[in-house]
Amino acid sequence: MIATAIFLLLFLLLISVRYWRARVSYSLFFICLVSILLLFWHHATDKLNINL
Amino acid sequence: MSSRIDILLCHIFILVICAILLGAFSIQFGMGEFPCPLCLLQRMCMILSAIGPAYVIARGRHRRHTGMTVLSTGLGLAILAAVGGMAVATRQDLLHIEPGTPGYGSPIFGLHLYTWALLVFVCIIIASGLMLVFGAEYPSSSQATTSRKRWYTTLTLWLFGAIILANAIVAFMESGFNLFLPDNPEHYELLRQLGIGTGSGGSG
Repeated sequence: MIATAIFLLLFLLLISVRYWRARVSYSLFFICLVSILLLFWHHATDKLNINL
Repeated sequence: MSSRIDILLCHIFILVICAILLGAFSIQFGMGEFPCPLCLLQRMCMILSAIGPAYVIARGRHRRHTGMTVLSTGLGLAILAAVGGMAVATRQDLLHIEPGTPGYGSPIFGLHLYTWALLVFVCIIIASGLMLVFGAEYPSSSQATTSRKRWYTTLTLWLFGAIILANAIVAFMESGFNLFLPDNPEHYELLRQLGIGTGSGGSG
């Protein structure tokens, strides 16, 4: 469901870009980017039991 | 490069990303392959990298907004997202890089999809860099005209939006009501949870 939520955030981001509201769009962009990276971190370190 | 070419290239940028994502759909449903979590993350990064050019063409409707400032903002966003996507694709490449290790999914033209994704992200960064180097710079006030909706801009943004929503539906079908996606998906979890068959076979 997290992946679905991120895709929906991306759709929201596209709408906000269309009606550019700088603060909203920048916030949404970085929320999406950080969410993707956190989800990546979860999936990348989950199986390998990596200690960094 | 004139601003018209910049905006045209941004359209092409988005349409290429749309074509790649539609290709991924055709492999998912046509060949019955389920996207793994890293594959979906790569799709997210591709969409995120196309948001920058979407911003450029959305602003391009108002000529007074075009120019290097808009172009650099849009392509900067694209590069940031592409770097994230590169990290994900590289991670998946390294998972299967050991000789003898079977890759995930079927190779297309000799390369697996995550390798193609890595090449796509590299191309995004190179293309964005070139567009920034040769981007148009001109005074804004002299070219201020009223906005004019172009049919191909509307079509491109609608297609892009539809593909994002389609990906959201696919992700929901795969994860069901679970928080995270399964590591090696072999069926659509949502269909199983709702008791509609096994949801296997990638028939959607």
